[in-house]
Amino acid sequence: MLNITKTQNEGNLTVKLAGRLDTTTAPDLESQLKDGIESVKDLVLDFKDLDYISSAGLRVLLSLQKIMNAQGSMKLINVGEVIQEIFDVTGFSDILTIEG
Amino acid sequence: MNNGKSDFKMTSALLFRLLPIQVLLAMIGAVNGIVSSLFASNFVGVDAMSAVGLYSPINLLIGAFSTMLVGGSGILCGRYMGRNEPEKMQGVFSTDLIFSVVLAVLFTVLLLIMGVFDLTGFFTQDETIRRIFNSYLIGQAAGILPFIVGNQLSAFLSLENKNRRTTVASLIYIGVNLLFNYLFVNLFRMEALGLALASSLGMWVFCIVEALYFLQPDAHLRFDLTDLHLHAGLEIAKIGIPGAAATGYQAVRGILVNKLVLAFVGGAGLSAFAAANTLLGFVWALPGGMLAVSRMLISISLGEEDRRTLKDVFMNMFFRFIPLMCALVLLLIALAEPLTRLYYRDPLDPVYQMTVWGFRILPLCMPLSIVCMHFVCYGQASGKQFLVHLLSILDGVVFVAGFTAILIRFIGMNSVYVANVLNGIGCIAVIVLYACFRYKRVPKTLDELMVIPENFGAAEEDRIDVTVRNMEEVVTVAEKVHAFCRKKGIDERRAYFAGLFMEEMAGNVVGHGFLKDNKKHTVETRTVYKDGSVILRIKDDCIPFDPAERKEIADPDDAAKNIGIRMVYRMARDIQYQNILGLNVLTIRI
Repeated sequence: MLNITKTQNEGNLTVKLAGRLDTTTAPDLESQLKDGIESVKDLVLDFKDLDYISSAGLRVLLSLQKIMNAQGSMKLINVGEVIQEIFDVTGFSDILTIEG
Repeated sequence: MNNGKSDFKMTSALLFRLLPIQVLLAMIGAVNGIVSSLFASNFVGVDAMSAVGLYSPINLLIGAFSTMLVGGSGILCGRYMGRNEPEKMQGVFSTDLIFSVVLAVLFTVLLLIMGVFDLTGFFTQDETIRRIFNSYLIGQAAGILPFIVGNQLSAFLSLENKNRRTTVASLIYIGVNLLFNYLFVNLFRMEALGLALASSLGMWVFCIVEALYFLQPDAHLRFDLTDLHLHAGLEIAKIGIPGAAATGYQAVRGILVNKLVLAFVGGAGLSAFAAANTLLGFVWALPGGMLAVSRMLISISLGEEDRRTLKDVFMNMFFRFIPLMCALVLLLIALAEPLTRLYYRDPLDPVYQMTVWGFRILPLCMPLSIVCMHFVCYGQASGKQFLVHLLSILDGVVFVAGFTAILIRFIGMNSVYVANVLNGIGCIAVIVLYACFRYKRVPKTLDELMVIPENFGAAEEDRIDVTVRNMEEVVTVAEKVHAFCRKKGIDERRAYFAGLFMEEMAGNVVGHGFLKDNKKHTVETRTVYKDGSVILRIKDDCIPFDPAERKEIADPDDAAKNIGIRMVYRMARDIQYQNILGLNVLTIRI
């Protein structure tokens, strides 16, 4: 299960993710974020309450990163230890902007 | 998600998928026997049928040694396959073939000496029959080497999943055998010598067609004369001897029963028994094939310590194999007279009625034999030596010869047939009594009937088995794996990875493997906690696919390409892939 909480302030969109970003929940995230993303200049993904991510989630992140590269910026914050390790092993830590 | 029934269905489906080729293989010897016997009775004479009957125990004896090598090497290879030790499998392959050739040469020389120097007085004192028998022996000697080696190659081709080649070889063999029988017996009138030479030459063709595979570059098993391991040979013999001893005892039984029949009934009884036995040998291919496929799964299950699959094999035997066999038995009984008329035409000839009763009674022992053979096979593979030896002796000699000796004065030739049925009942009683003896009470479960040790396989609380059919179930099982690991005290990081690897690899199968053909598929997952480690096993019945082929494939323009597989291969402690009997089996250690 994945809870998605969006807070938008003009061109800044903060998305809090809670739960699991896996094969069944990744499509939901993708559809919720891509809908109306054209107006977003800065996208922040808060991983504080995200317990789990799999390759399906990584694909969505990559897709969002490519969109935001063209129109603004994207960063991930409050990434947990294990998820950080996954980003490091897969090379995604070189592709994504990860803070804190 | 369902656990028990889906596992059974996959095991059952696998067994039935492998069954036809194993039945076909078992039919080879039977076809040879039937063709020979039909040509013998129809074109040579009744005395030739007696010679065929006299050779039967010798054939069994040679078959016993071949069975020892096939059974022992098959079980050993299955065990090494379950443990993922391919180099040891190679050693077993080469050692087995070297031993086979040596054995075959010894038997060939022995038969030639017996036939050429008329040393067959032990079998019969009748001069006419002995003359024919000697010629038959000489002809059979030519085919001993391809018979033994061909049997070994068939088993190894099965392990390599190349059963189609064996099918082709079998069909060619049947054709060649028929052709040479027609040429040597009908055209050149070579009588018994021609009969035997025909099957021998057919056997050579069969063996060569099979052997050619192992010269190809894509063969996993390679023969290497220097890869002889005496200890492997001894291990093969040790595992295989009980099964071979059973056939050896049957050879002794054959000699004893032949002598009883000759003494109390006469040559007609021998001819009747030879006819019924030979044609039913064709039908015995079905129980033989059933055992062959079960043996493969039994040995692999033991190697993997997979209690569930082991039990499923036996459930399949009780609820699928036996009903099928019973249906065939009823058909045979109904066709007793038409089958008899293939050999003998005169209903007033005593041999005719004796043969009819043979076809009516003998088939009844087949379903009983399936049960007995499965327990013997399991006993062999799991080291229950006492039970295996006991059943070998009882089934092989004691029950049949004993009941025949008791009953032959009262019911004549039918005593031989009835004794075979009583043999089956007796052996099953021994199996149940053995379990009663071990548990000091009547067994209540299949585990107890099979006397599966309590510490075999992981304890129930140390493993979870889940069958998945779709992506939702993949995610659910991943969560279950994570929760299971945490419950076992595994740290959060490793528990996370266990769930992740399960989602990635099982998800790949569902997302890609399921779509490659139009068939329904399932994925069997197993998570085992053992000595602080977690082992994931993912088994599917899709087309062969080794995920390692994709672990290095990365696309600079798409960082997510094969990301799931790449992630697992980089982070897991150990990953092993095997294709066992057409199933993809992936084992991941965390």
